[in-house]
Amino acid sequence: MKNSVVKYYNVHDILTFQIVCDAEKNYLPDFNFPFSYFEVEYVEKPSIVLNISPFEPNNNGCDIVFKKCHVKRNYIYCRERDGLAAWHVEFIGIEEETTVINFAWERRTPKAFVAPHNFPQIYYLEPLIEYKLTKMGYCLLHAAAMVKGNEAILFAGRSGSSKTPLIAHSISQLGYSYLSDDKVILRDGLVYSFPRYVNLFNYMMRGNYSKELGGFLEKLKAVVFIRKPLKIKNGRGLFTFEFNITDIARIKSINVICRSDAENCVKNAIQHENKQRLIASLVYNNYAEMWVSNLFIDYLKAYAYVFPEILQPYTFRNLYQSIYGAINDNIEMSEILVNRSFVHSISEDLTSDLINERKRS
Amino acid sequence: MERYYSVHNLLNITLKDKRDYFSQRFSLFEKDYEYFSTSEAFDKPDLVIEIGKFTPQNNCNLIENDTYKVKDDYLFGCFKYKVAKYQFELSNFNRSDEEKPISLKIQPDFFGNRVIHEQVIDYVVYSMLNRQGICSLHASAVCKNNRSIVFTGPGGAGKTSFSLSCLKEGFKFLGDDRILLNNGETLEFPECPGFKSGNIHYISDIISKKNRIKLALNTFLEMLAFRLIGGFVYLKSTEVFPQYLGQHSALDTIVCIQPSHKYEITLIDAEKVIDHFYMNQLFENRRFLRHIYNYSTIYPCNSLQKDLDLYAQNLKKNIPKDFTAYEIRLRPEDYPRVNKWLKETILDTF
Repeated sequence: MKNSVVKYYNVHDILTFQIVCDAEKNYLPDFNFPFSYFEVEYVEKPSIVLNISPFEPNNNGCDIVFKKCHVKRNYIYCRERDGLAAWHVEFIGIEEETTVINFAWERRTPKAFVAPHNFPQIYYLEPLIEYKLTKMGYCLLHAAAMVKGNEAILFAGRSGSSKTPLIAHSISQLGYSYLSDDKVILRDGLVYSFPRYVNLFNYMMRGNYSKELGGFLEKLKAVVFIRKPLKIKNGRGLFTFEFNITDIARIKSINVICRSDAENCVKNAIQHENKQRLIASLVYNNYAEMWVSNLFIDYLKAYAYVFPEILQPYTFRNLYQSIYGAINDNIEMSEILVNRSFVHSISEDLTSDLINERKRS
Repeated sequence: MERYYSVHNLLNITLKDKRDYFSQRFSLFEKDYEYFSTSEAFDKPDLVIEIGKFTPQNNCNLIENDTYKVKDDYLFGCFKYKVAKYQFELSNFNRSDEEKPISLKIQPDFFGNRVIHEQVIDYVVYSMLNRQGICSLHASAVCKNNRSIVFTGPGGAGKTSFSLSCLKEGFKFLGDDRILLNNGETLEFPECPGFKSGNIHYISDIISKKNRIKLALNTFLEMLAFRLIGGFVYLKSTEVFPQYLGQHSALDTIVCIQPSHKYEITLIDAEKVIDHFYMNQLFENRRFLRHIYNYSTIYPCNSLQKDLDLYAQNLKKNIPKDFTAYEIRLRPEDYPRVNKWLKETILDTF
């Protein structure tokens, strides 16, 4: 038996998963990095098992779809290549309660040497979590969220719509606490946190949060910061946070945020009749996120070529229903347009506007 | 320079080209659509394509780190693909101005000239045909005596090889990557066929010596480039085998090719065929779907977004009542066997 490291994760008792990797090829601490917030001591029956080590594929009796995907009932195997890097991955029991992902590098690029275990987590584990949640009737919404007094304000928008600077500002200046800066889980009027790369956000909060991690030096600094061993606090994760994290809250308002090159910031509260339009907007926001180089979705499409019912949870109707079900009538919805220069000089107006509205209601 | 294309009299396209000579030579759109070109100008074109420099509009919403600029009935995007770069702008696609045609402006860099037709223009054309009730199928097809055989399958299954192998049996060529389906009839869409080293031998008897040399040169260059880059030489289908181009004919047989671990031929029903075509479309159109979804985050109710649903409806409507459909599962070594089966069971009945 090979010597291996096992980590267990529990996402709000909704979903559990486990990551296993070879001890001798262990590039800690990145191994524990994207989902470290959910790490727990032990999990009885994980829904997803991710094995990061060489494996023998079990791809006998498969159909080959789109040149590269090997598909049979409950099974997908694929060999991938991106520039110089090459890896292969298999999904066992894709339609069952417990899904096993086996992942192995064949050739690594320098990027993958820095963080070899992040890659499978972001490209395969997270989409699979999303798929499982969607199947269970939850919705993993692409939105940033912050909380005050058990009431959450959500900002949904495509990448680059300045969601992260906006909540970073609200947390550090206005006393909000953090739910997530990228994705949240919705169900029955409640929002659950889904912090991913929470330590990176921590780094942003320590530094100047309005600066994006654009330059090489900035990125290097972030990596150094993240690799540092940190104190254990609350028995949860390895880090001391610069901010409070809330796990669950009631949804107070949902705002679709978008940057514009027009001069003024505009905020339109959505009338009740137009809520459908805004929910459709949220669904497409999720879709657009899924469609940007998401390898897992390509595999699902290949699987659907042979077994069409697999894409059922992702139909527009189903996603719409699950978001609609999560939002009750009291939730305010609005569209916000922000100005081009917003990222570098955070507009006080916008957040204070939101707070004033809270007071009024 | 202006060119005019009429796709089966269903869609009239005016191309306004402002590029320099070399870019025009390097471009592939004209070669692909050569079959549809006409000499007369249109009074009311459905689609106007302008290739050359343009300035995007202001007062837009910026999406995905400024990749997209959108406003009502307007979509601008700026993309990179390997070494190629291009930006395009699509407007009036919701037909807010009924009088005007849909306008597509593209500004490619030199390498961009190679990719804009398959990354932008084709999708716009398919989508506009779709609105007129005509489906584009990701398939290749051949015909004889006014009946056609359609070969479909996921990418890399061997659609082109099978259709080219039929030409020797007196069949005519309808299309290699895409064909159109209208009311049970297959309409030809002969773009430049994707000749690969594996399928050239099917046509070596029927093409001219000059073209044979060109294809041999292409294979050689691809070998030199370790098969990482392909398509050094493109041959127009109107030049390669002009006498072999077929015309619209009734859809008779559909063959779904599925690479697999075993050899098996089964008869399948229309529902399964529709599923296959739909999934194929979903995968092949993923690049354009990304534009649509990004646009739809701001304007959820638009005509682009209805495309896929409409496509599913059109498939049901256009697929004829009586046709035979086979699903062939095959291993790489089974291709000669399938060719033999194809000749005996299908080709000889035509």
